[in-house]
Amino acid sequence: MTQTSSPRSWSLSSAYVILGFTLLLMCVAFFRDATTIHRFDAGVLPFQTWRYPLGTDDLGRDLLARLSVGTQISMTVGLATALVASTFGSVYGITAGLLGGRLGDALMRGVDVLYSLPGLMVVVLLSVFLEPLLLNVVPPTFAPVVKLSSLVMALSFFSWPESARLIRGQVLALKQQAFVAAFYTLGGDLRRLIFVHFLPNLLPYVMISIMVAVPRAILTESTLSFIGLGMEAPLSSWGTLAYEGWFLIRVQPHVVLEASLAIALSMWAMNTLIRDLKMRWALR
Amino acid sequence: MMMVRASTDFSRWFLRRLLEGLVTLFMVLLLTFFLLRLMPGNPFDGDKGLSPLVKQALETRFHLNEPMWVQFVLYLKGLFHGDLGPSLTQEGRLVGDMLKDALPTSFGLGFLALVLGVPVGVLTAIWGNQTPSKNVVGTLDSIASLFLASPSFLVAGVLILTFSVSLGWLPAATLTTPLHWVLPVVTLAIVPYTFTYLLLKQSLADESSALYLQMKQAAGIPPVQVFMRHLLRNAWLPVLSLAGPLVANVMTGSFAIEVLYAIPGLGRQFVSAIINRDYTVVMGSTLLYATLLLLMNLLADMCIVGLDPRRREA
Repeated sequence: MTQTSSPRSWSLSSAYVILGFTLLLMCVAFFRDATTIHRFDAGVLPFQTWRYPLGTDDLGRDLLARLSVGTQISMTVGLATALVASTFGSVYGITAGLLGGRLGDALMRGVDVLYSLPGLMVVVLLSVFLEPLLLNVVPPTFAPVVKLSSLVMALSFFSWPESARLIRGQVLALKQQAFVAAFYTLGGDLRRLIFVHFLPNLLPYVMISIMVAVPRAILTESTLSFIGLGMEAPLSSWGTLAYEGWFLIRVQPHVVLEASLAIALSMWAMNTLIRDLKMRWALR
Repeated sequence: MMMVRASTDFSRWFLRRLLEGLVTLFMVLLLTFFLLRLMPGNPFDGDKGLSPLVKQALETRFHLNEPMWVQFVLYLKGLFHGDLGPSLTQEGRLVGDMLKDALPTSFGLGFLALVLGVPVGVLTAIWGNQTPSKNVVGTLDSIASLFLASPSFLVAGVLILTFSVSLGWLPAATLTTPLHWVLPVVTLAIVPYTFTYLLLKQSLADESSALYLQMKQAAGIPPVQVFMRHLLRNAWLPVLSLAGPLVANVMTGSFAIEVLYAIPGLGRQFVSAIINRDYTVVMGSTLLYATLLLLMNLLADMCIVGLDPRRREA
């Protein structure tokens, strides 16, 4: 679901500003420590001080640093999922589109089946299934990122059909164009047609499908983490922070608000940017 | 003669869709069953206090020590009798009963959210399409893009902090009195609202430029009639094509909403079943969701075919 009208200029500039701040926030964790418990430095800490601009959580850990770590985790999950899903989806879509006919249709029927699965449940099942499987395979040094990679794989499984559909549609549209017939008439070979003419034409669509997948993966990941089936501390994402903060909502409402505002603002900025790019590249 | 052909067309289309749906359901069944059984560990591994003998007895009782295909055949056999098996972690509870208990809550919540969200979405989309004021359109669009970006826990957090914590007007958790339903329903309604508004607005804008509308107007048909009979009718199609999954998701209650407001619905049951490795409950919930999703998709497609006979080919 997207909006196709062009965003106004002020919202576009604020989107850039928000994304800039998000990048800055990601770097904060290199200078501030997210794990130290500060509570007893000077008795119970007030919500907000100059030392802790975003306050501290219930254990007295610096929220700015934790949010920064959360940004790194969420963005990693989002980008990795988008890359994996869009790469696979694009290759699949191009194959199905080029093959065409019965075989291409059959390939897309498989995608239709995936569409009619209950998405969130499949992601949960897959990530829970993949985690112990990966733990057996990878060396112990990689153990901390196993949860992250199993989540990325599960989210990609949920996400690739969308780009497969988009890319296949574009390939089919390209095949109808007059230059293809001209190309064959002049005796061009298929490989040249694909690499010189099709791929450059498909590139903007592939890029859009990558970009669209990022916010969606981040949002799904945050929901999973929020219900306790996603990332866990110490690799807490935005969703994990919001989950921890939810139980403190009456005492320290800033924890859940800061984490979920970070999600909402960056999602909004990404959506705005995508809308602008779509208009600029005249895509639908 | 025409009518006869049209109806056989429809029944052929319908039968094909039904068959496809059954195949999909079977694939969901296969996928869930083997994913769960291939996972290392079983529901009784977690209990450290369990003596090996007791564990063995439990595994025998629930057929967990049989070969996997035997387990699958046993499960299928039960399924054809409408028996989803016993819960593996909750003593003496049947999965069918657990789903039956949780279903009305999730359905009720989802139904109310749809009743609130969809009409408001339709009305604001029409308003945005008809109004000459750029400010109205801008405001409606900004609200929609904010909703689109907000996770449900932000909406719920703001609502609870405002109406429960600060103002003290509404209760924040569980579903004991009618007043308790307000905040969860509003939170859940955000999704259908945004979805309806954005899609309908877009397709109204797409349809508005169609030549046949100018024709109708030029022919002197009143604008209201043109709008209701022609524009709106065509604009519904793209919305309907995506309505199936939406309705299914909202009706079964979003997972996060049930965790947020401590509501004992299907979503929360699924989450705790996953954590406890309660295979049969996970299977039962997944099958229920998948069935509902397929039914809703079928229903939406039937509406589309009813409105636009050309789609019968696809």
